[in-house]
Amino acid sequence: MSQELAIEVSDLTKTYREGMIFRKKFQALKGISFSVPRGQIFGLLGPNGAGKTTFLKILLGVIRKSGGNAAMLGHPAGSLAGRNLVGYLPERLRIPQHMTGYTALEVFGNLSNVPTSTIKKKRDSLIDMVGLTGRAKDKVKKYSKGMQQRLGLAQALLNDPQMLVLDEPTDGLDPQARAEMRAIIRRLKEDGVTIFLNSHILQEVELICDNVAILDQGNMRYCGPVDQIGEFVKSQLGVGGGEHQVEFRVKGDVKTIADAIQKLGGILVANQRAASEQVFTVGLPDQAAIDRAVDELRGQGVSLVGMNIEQVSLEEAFLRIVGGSNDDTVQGNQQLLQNF
Amino acid sequence: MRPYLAIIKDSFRAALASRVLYVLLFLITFLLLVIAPFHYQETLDWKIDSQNNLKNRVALFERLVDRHDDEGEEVIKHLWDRLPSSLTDELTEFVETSRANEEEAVDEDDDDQETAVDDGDAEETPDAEDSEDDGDVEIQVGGSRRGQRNRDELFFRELRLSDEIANELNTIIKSDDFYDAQVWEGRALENEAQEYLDEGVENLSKEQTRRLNRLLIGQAVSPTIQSGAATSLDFYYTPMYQVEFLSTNQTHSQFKSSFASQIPYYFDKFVLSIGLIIAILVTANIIPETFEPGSLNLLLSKPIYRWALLVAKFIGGCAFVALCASYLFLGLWLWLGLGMGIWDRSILLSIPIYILVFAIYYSVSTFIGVWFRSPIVSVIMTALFWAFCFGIGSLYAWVNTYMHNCQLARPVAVGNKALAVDYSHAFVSWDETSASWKNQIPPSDNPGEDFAVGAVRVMGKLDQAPEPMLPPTLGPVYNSLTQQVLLGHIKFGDPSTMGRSAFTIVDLETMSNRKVGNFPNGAVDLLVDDQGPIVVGGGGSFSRVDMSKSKVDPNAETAKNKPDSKPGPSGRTRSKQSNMKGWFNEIGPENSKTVRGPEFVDISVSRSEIAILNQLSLFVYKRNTEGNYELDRQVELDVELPDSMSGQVAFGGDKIMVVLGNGQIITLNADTMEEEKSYQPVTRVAYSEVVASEDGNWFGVVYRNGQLWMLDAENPEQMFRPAVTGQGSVSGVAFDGDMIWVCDRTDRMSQYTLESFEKQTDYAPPCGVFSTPFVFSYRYIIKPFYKICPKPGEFYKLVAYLSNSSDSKTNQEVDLRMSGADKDPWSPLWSGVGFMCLMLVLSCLMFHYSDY
Repeated sequence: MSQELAIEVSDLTKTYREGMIFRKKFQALKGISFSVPRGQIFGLLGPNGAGKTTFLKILLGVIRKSGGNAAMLGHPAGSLAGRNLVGYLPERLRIPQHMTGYTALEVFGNLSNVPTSTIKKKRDSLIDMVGLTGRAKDKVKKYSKGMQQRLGLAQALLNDPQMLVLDEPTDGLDPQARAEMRAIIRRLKEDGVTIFLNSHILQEVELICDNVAILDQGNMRYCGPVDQIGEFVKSQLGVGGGEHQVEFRVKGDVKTIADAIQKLGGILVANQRAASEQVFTVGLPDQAAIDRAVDELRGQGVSLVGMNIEQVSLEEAFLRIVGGSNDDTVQGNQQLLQNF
Repeated sequence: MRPYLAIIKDSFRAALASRVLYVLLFLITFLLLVIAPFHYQETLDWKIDSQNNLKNRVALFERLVDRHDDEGEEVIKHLWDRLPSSLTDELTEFVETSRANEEEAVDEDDDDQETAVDDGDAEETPDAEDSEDDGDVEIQVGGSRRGQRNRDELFFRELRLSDEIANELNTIIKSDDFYDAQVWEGRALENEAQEYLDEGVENLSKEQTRRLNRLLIGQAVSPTIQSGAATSLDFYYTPMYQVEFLSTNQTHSQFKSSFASQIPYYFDKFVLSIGLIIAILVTANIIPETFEPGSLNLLLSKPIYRWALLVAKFIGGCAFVALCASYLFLGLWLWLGLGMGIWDRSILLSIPIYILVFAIYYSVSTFIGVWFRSPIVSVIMTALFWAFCFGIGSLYAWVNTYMHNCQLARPVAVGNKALAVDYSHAFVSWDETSASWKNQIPPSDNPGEDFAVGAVRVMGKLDQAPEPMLPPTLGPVYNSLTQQVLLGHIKFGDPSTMGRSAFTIVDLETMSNRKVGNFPNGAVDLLVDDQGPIVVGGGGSFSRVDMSKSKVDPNAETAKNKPDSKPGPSGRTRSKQSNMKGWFNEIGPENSKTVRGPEFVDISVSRSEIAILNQLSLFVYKRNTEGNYELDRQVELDVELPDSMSGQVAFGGDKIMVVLGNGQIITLNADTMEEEKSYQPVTRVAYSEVVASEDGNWFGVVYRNGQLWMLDAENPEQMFRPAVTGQGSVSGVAFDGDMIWVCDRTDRMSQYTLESFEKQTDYAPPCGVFSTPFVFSYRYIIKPFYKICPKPGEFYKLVAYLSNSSDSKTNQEVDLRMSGADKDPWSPLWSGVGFMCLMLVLSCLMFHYSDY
């Protein structure tokens, strides 16, 4: 277990068993392996039933792993020592209705072994930080869903965690609150806190995460930097025949242009006629091919008015990764995205 | 500990935040306010209560009717003259009718008995004889029914008359001129009455005069009117309103003792039952709501142990109840202390104990909550658990009471014959052939008798009730002169015969028995000396039984064949045998002392002396050359206890042992009447029986918890528990030379040597699934299962056991006989704690190994 890593997982499996006599088995995690360096914002993505929550529960000791290894901040996943260093904001947090903001902080802080005196010192700043100023003495039953989420974040920070596990932290928050939440997360990162984020809002993940992992049906599909996921999609799964989609806006003889494309070995994806120019898209395998294509077009006397190399978004990558080659799955994931 | 304390603290917060807590606290406050004005005042007791004081009504009526004439007693005449003539006429008529009816009843019994003997002799009873009597049988059956009806009517008349006479006596008591010095001249009065007279009647207050009159009347008709306590308690609700029906003729000390011993039961069954239901309903949600996903995941992610989280939640639930229970019991404790003068720690002990009771139920709720995660299922299953405990407890209580009352209590062993009487007065003998105890007096052909015997056996532990539930057992005693065993037998199926013991003689050679009539009304004990049996009356009179009358062949005793038979009141002929005149001849003493029960009297055959314990004074009567007993010596026991303290005397050789209700045991030298030694081996359990060996070398004390303690006169330093089998279930002992017979385990009677306590003989029926299924089920299934089962409904026994009222160490005035005793009062605690721990461990394991 490396001390440099916030999370270290290898060949982690989890099999659920249901029923008392005729027990049914369901494998939620099928031997995933990845690691999260300290100090990063890490996003865990995946469709429903992918195993994200299962993984989080194993990490926090809510459930037990069936096989493999998982460590958190240098301690076995689920151990008291590991949990002592973590702050956790669960999805659909339900704070007992009899509590006020302050008492909730006191109870959950005490549960994290934080003395009441310390809690009393820190609680006002935390309340201010999460935007609940003036509402701390109100009963939680008077809080909106978003306010409860904010209070949940505040309680997760009481024990000065080395890692913050956030499960759908912006769920129920309005856009402004989301922005505030992102700001808090970034500030915590600056303070050296590792953020492990489980979110369905991919744009948000894309905005703040350094690295992401994508789980699908218990398998790890991707784990790496957010900005390289497109490369991964292109390289591993391929887009438009496995090449870069390059849009050329040119002026010149059509036949000359067509010959040049053919010579490049490219594929004419689209051919649009403008007033004095033509637009076409070519699938090219790599940057060298693009450079060669530009040289070839210029060599044939074709004027290059404009050029655009298409970037693969996280959302698109996610859909492609979790959908794979299965069209049905892709459609399903597109439907899923609409729900987001 | 911080996280777990936070959970407990939060449970309090949740409780405070819920309105249920406020409702409960309000209800408790309301209850305390309602009972707060309730209090009592101690006053001198002068009232005669027909229910509590007139224990032997017929004897009272007979006493008044028989002894009011010139040949009778002056004091009775004095009393009779003050009764209204309508009442005296009715009393006279009642007594005459009662006697006639009684003789008729005995005739019926004789016929029954004869039939039984015939049946027992052989089946070859000639049918012809029956057919010859066919006509007569019809008449007899008709007569029997009529007689039964008459007796029933008489019984209800007796109740009505007792109410009327009690009212009239109370009117007399209120009069200032009842005491007439001439009437009472030469009559020894009780100390208290004498003190009033010494003070001067004219100087007495109104209340004191009434008390004096009450004492005089009580002594005039002693022992038919129970003297009761010196004071009575009048209850008030606020200073203005007196709750008359609650008035009781007990001293404050007695009331405190009995009330404090009973209050845990009433709290348990009324206040706490309701409280527990509310508490279970209120707390049923605590565990299941922990499992709500948004709440559980956060809790489990915290650095705390799961089992400790669950236990903390459990304790938190209990803390909620603890708050309410503490408030309730502290309030009750203050009310009892300030308002009633009863500062009893049992109330305060109830706080932790009833929190534990709740915890037992709550552990079930927790287990079900962890399993099903549903408050409704938790409540339902907890209710089912309560029903299960109630069912098991009721079944055990019923069977155990029945078995308890079947315990052999008074063993009599003569030669190779073993006989005994059990607590329900069943007289059994050992049958070698079947190796079982045979009912020596089978129920008569009265169909109600079997049912009545069964009902008596389940109505309560007959030997342990504060007030005797049955008339005293007369005998069995062995009369060596006639080689017969004598005893009084009671028929339960006929209420009009209640209180009357049928004089039954068992011939040891043939093991046949016959009833020869009834013992006198008010007989409390049957003794035997070297001149024959003696009946001790409740008034302290001794009557020699003329056994020569029993030599008449019972089979030849049929009434219709007797030339001197005369018609009875019902038209039936009655035999001379049913007329007990001449059977019981008074043999003193002149200055008799009231004998409250058989335990207050014992005889030393070798010394021809009878000892009577009366109001903490010991009287020894010696037989003179004429065969009469007269008071020889007396001593007042050196104890400062209420006169009403129960006790038992055992007389053997030159030693008398007195065991008092508070557990104190005193041995006295029978010659000098000086106290020799004092013991108190047990302080919380009442004695059950005390016996002495004839030579006075050994004494045995059986306690209600089935323990046998003995005293070796040669080593009198301390009492010891002999190494006999069945310690803890001993129900009776008897000395037989250098042997001791011990009855234990319901139906085992064993003989041990006194030197080494080696078992010599054993009369114990085999116990098998098929041969004795009831006993087998009780012994090997019901009892063991009950032992390990939780008994949350029986914690009041532990509270009562731990209270001041049951500890004679701290309160010497406590009469342990007045409170029920449990053989193992700690059993509910052990089984309850064990069950609760099991439930919690299972809950923790389930919680620990479950995925959420």
